[in-house]
Amino acid sequence: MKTLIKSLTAIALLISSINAWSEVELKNEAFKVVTITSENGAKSEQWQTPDKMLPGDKVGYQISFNNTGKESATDIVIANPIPDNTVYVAGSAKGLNTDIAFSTDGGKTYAQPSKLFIEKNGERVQATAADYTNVRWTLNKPLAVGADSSVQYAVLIK
Amino acid sequence: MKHMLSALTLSLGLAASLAATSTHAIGTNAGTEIINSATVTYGPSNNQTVSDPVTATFKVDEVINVNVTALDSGKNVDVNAGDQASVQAYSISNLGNGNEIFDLKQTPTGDFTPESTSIYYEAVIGGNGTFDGGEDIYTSGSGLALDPDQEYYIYLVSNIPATANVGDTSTLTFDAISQTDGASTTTVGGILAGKGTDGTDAVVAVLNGTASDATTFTVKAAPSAVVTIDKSIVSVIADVNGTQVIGQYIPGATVKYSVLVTVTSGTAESLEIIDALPADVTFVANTLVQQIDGTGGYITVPPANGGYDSNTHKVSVNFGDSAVGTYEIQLDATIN
Repeated sequence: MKTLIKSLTAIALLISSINAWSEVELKNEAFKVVTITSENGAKSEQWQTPDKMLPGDKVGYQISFNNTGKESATDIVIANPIPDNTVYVAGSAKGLNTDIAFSTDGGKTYAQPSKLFIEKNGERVQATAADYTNVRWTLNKPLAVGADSSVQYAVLIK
Repeated sequence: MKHMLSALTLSLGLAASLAATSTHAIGTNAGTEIINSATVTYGPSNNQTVSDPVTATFKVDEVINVNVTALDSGKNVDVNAGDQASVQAYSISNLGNGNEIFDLKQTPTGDFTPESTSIYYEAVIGGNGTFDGGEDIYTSGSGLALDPDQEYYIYLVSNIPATANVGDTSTLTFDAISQTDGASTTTVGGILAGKGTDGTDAVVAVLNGTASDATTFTVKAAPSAVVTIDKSIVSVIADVNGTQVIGQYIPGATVKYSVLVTVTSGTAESLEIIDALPADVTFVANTLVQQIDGTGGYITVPPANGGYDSNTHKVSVNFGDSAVGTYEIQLDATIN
């Protein structure tokens, strides 16, 4: 993760030379999503440092971003292909002040889940979470200078 | 305390999820990198910027899981005492997600110990499921490597002691034991740090990294022996006034009879050859001889084993329990 942040900084430096007004830094982190059962039997999910990642395990991704530039950043769109060997977990994508859309064609087109269809055996059927190839968050508010936010989603390891 | 409780719940949860998947090999191979890659696009709208992808990467760890299934009906193989190359069949499959090496071993328990038990293996793909000599023999401790989902047939081939009694049983337990360091002493859910494929952690999903099944040899009564009998006349010799006449059945001629019994399979228990002599011949004393398997020459039948009974006019010779082979007696009788 440390090296990621380093390379991010390098990217950010590169970006700053092109765009003096705003500068959005990204951070991408993986977590192991573990269901915890409390003493009273209630279940809750906990995102933990990745360890012993096995087929069938749930992986949470948090993509954080902040505006390190001098002007507010507008029209922020985070695009994220679903990793190979994983399946998107239905309903897991979240993000404050974002519109979330999915793609089933590798990111060529995006739509809300209810409007996503695929061809199966020659028939047009509603796409399921397993058909999603990409997830995309579109922020509907500008990101002020110095502000940060994050989006999340989860997958299962095949 | 709360922390400990959640840790306990966690490990139990892991065991449960592993147990739930134990009938099928599971997904992504150990060591595979899962790479999540995000990009951000942002404005101001008159100067859009697209970032380079930013990734989060981890490797899939290894699950060690294996299944062994006895394939013989009822986990039983009926045998006869003295049988050679009696076969028990098993299958082994790698239910984990990494290439894994397993040691194979067998342990006998019961009324007798099968002899010279050898372990043979044959890949299910391309194999026929029948022990027919096309298999490889397993050398103890050498390890059999299985890819995820790969399956082998295993054959335990033994000789049954001749001394085994009808009704005796002996059970062979067949074990496949993961050779990953520490797996053979680890309970379900235990973690072997860095011992998995490509330095990943290995999680043990089957107790002691071992799968077992067992099959019993049950000793049945030997099948009835198949016996054929052939009676023939070896020679006819007569002395006519000092001249030997051969081949003429005339009064006073001596006829040499042969009775040959052949056991072609099984064991003929208490094999006794009884030859009722024709009414009009007379047994010649001290001419009863026997030969086994056509070798060693004819020897006089020991009196304890039989002889001629003048009351019944029969010759009988007892060979006892007789395995596959030939049993012959010869005797002389004169034509009255």
